[in-house]
Amino acid sequence: MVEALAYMILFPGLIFQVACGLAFEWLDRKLLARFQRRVGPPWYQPLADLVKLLGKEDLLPKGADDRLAALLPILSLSAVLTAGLYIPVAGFSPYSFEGDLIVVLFLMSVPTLAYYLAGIISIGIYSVLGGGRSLLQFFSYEVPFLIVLSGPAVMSGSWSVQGIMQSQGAWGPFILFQPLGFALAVVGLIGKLKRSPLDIPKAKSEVVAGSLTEFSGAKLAFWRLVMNIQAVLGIFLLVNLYMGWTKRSHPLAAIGAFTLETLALVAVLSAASALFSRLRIDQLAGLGWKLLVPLSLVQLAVVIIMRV
Amino acid sequence: MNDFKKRFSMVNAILEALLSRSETVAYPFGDLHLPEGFRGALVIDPEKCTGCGVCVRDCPAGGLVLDKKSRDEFRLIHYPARCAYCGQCEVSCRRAAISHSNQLVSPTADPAGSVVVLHESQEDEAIDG
Repeated sequence: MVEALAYMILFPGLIFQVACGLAFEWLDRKLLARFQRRVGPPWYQPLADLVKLLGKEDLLPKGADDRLAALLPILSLSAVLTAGLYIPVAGFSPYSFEGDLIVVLFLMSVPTLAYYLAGIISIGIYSVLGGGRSLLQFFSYEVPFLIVLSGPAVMSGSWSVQGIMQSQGAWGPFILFQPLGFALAVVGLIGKLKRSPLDIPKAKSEVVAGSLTEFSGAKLAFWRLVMNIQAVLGIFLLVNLYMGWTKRSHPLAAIGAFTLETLALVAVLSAASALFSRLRIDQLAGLGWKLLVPLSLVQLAVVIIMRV
Repeated sequence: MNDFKKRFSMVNAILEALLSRSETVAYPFGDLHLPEGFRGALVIDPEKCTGCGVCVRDCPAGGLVLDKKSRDEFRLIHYPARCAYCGQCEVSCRRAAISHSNQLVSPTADPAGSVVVLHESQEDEAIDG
């Protein structure tokens, strides 16, 4: 009982994930700032923003469903925090079971659907537009993302994230065998996180902040937290699926390697948002269905042939 | 291919930016050096100001007020919270007495508390004059 509570609240649960989420936000903002020759925020800026938002007045337009608007960010936060329990951190996963990859992918899709609903219920033209866009984007990136993430699972013969990670001890890291798959997974992750260049649902110059335009105060703080934790979990997931090592005998070596791989992936995501300009929604749909899906199928076919 | 080359030059550009010194400063933690010609806090040359009131008349934001008792006895008051820092007073002044310095004016939560008396004629001077 005490052990379970410690897993949920301390590590790898709430506190660890929130800390990682805030650290991710700072690192991302700092890196992006440095790529643009700016100084960037101090390390405590995300925490300060969070505390400030929690203390601000909470307003919604007249006619918006206040209760549902409060429920959606909490639901999303609980979904991502639960997903975090099944993603191994440096090889440690307390509740790993066969098939948890599917559970994780499902739980990580909950915030996207909640984001769509948040746009619809908060009654504002930008919110509704942003919500619709987020669903369209979901259909464009999610299919190739899921196909491509089944690559490591098929290759290792296990559908648990822990199992896939451990099987790379025998095979070697899957990024070497599935570089295309890894690249596609990174693109899918950028789409999932609604980060630039796939930040179509919250494009500042078009739809202000998309679904979250009308949100403020604690609700917005929770939404931001959800986005950050989702980003961290997505990165952890890709690190486990494509860069897992089990030959590291010493736990410190495992932690060090995991941290380095995570930081490298954060740098890739930040560089992508600095390098590319935003796609239009029709361009993304075209890219998703005409390029990403066929390529992910090719990658999966290659994996299946390698297995046979 | 050309597009690829362009993309690659972008990668070079962000890596170069990452390794170079940043163009911004970590204000308020670091020193802030504003460029010459920056329209910051108003300064006045008391020797030159005659209290003619042209700057007050021309100020579009109503940021300057002249409290004039007599020809030699007057106060020129600046309300930074109203000021648009447009530089009109500097243009209007015939004696080049009023000008913007390149010093930053701190933002304030109390507009009434930030009032600056730019010029106050000394009583002695007024009597002497």
